[in-house]
Amino acid sequence: MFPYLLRRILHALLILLGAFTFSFILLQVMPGDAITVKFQDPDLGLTPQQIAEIRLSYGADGSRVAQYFHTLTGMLRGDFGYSVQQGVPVSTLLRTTLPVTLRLAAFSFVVAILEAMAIAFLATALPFAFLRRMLAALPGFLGAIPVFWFGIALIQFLSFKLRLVPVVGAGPYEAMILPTLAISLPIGAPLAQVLLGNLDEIAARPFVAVVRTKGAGALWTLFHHVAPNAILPFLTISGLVFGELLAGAVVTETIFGLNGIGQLTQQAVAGQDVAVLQAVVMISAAAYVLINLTIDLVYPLFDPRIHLQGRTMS
Amino acid sequence: MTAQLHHSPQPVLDVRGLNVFYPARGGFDAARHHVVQDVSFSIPRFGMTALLGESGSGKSTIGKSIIGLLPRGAVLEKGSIDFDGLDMTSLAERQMEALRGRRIGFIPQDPSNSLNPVKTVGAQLGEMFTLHGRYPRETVRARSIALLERVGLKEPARRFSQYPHELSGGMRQRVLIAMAVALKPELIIADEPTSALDATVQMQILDLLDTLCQENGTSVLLVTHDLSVAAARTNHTIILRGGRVEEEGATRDIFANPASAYTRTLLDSRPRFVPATGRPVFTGDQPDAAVTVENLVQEYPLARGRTFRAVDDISFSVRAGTTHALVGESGSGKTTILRALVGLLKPTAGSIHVAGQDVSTTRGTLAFRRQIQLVYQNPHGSLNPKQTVGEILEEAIGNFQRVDRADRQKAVRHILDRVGLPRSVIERRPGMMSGGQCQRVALARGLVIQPRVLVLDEVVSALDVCVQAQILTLLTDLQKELGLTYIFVSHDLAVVRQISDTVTVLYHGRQMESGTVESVFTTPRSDYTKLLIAAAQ
Repeated sequence: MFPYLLRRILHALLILLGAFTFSFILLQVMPGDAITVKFQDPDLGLTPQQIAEIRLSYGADGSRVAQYFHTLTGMLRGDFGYSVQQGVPVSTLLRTTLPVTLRLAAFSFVVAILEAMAIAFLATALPFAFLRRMLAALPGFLGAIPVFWFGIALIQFLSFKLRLVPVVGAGPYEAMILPTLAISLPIGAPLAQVLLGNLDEIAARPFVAVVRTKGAGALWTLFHHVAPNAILPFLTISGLVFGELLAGAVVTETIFGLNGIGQLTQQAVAGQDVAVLQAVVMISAAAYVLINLTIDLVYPLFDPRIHLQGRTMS
Repeated sequence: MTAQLHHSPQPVLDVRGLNVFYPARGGFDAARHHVVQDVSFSIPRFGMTALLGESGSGKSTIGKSIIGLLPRGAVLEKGSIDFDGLDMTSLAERQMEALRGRRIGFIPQDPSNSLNPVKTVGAQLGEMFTLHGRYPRETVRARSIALLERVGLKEPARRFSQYPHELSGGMRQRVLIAMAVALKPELIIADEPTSALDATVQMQILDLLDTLCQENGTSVLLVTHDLSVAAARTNHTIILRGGRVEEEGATRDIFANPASAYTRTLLDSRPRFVPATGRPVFTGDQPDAAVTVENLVQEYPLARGRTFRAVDDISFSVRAGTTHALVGESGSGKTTILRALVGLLKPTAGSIHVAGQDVSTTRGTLAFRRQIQLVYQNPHGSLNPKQTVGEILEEAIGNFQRVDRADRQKAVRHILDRVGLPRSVIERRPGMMSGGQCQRVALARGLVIQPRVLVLDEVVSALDVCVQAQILTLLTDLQKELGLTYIFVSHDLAVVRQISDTVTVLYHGRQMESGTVESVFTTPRSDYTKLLIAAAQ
């Protein structure tokens, strides 16, 4: 168990290093940089020499290899460097934006999973075939709705028309309601599809028929036998989907005016603010690695066939 | 087995005019595909009744109709199923649920996937009680453990908290039997309960079922394709063919004096454990061996640097143009030896020579693979469902040499004639052919590159007896015409005796004995071989 855990953590760290290196190279390859964007503005009238000095003060001089190690060691110390755009340490920016995004991601994740379960179980257990078919078709439809359009529609309808939720002057949790709804649907839709597919597949397994021959009813069979098996692949997929949540934050936060990582990213891209982008990439990668590690570690709780020595028994 | 025929006037179950169909695609009223037609029979109280038929005879569908769990899409059109004065076809689902498990038990076919993999044995067995009444937890546990002990499982308390994957196939089938008998039902439907098990285990399981049902006064409907099992175990037999009842009567009468021509064909096709007629007798070590295996050891790596020895010091040699059988139950190392023979594994120790070539140095080369071809057990699984027969066979040729299209097609037509398939199958895909036809295609694929050795891995065990007999005849003819050498793996001793010249008996990776078929089968030296022979008779 412990060597396994150690190995997995080492593995996770390697992935993070890979993500760092890859994103560093990509960001370096981009033509121009933040300093050029911000200070080469003719209106400022700075001389090339002055710009070079600014470059020096941001640590943006020297060879790329030196910069790579400079940035990497900084990150290990928790120092993400300075945002050239806003002239403050990146960590200060993160301190205000990260909680917003994490809150949004966590809420949407939970709501998406609830939605997926509701759709999948109802589509399996409802009494009338046409109802089941309608629900089974729902995920495909929901997944096709663009987030930006749905977000705007939600504001229009729930906030402006029905005045159920305020958009302006909402508290930190009130402000989460609409964005959570908007983002959880496209995230929940593929989850529902996966779960529904699993439920169907498991229901066709011979052992389920055997359960029925024991005198179990359809619902008992569904919840006591089919669902515990169907939940396994669903777990894996939900971990992968969490990554999409972070990516989806860019659009959602822009629409709902949330000051989170998404907005930060969008501004940083516009201003080629490399230090900020690098930090965002690392945070997303860390979140992604962490949630998937957690899922792998809890997997044996759901499936007794998996042992944590890293091999399966058959 | 079952002592006497207690023909009480009232049968436990009476089926009258049963019709089941699958609606054809494109609407309900389009051509209906009837799988069960006008079937009537009754199951006498006490003892075992055989519902006997080949694949597609409707036997499983009838079993499932009785318990009210037809597969999705199947429609029970008309007919009545009378169980103790109740017409089960008119019962509501809730009433059926109360009957199932409590008054009518069910034992499924394949124990390996008939238990929920994520629940303990105890939870699944205990469910039997909780579904049909309110019992304190401790009572359920105590009664479940007692049942596990009753079905012959050692350490029942430990089994109770184990998961299905921790038990062997035979043990799982015992658990499933424990479930079926838990509430002492009046009738148990056993759907091919032993066909997925090894011969020696098969006997034990049927003995157990027999004893328990006599104890509880339970009648058993044994759904099976196995004539020997029906003959040995049951006192009443119903023979099905193409969804209709061919004949019904006392087992003894049917097997002694079959009324229908079909039953007679069935009985004649059954491989019997008797010496083969018309095979030339070879004695052991002949100089011109096509395959020699010397002191083969094959290990698989396990976690933490340990290894598992699947095959331990096996030696045999096969004279060109003869058949050597490998006999053994699951876990005996048969498959490992096959994989080593065709060069898929590198031997850990020992040597294998095929047609004069050393496997460990030439395996993987085209020249080696040309000499030896493998044919698998399940023909539907080993043929690409997206390819036509023509494509499958042409691909096999193209893998070995560049031949132009016309020549490839000529070779395909030639080989199809050889294996007795009409040329019209060239355009067909495996899904549109029967099991026997697919197995012929699989043989053709092996033969089309003209190898010298054919490795046949349980090639007839998935087939019905009549088809099985045809394929065995085909194999014998091909051997004679082409001078082929066969390595024939089978668990069925009767088949082995019909087709093989020499045999090696394997048990847990070790060689129990090896020699000519008749010497091994008439004067077995190891106890294990004796046990196998007892199970085959």
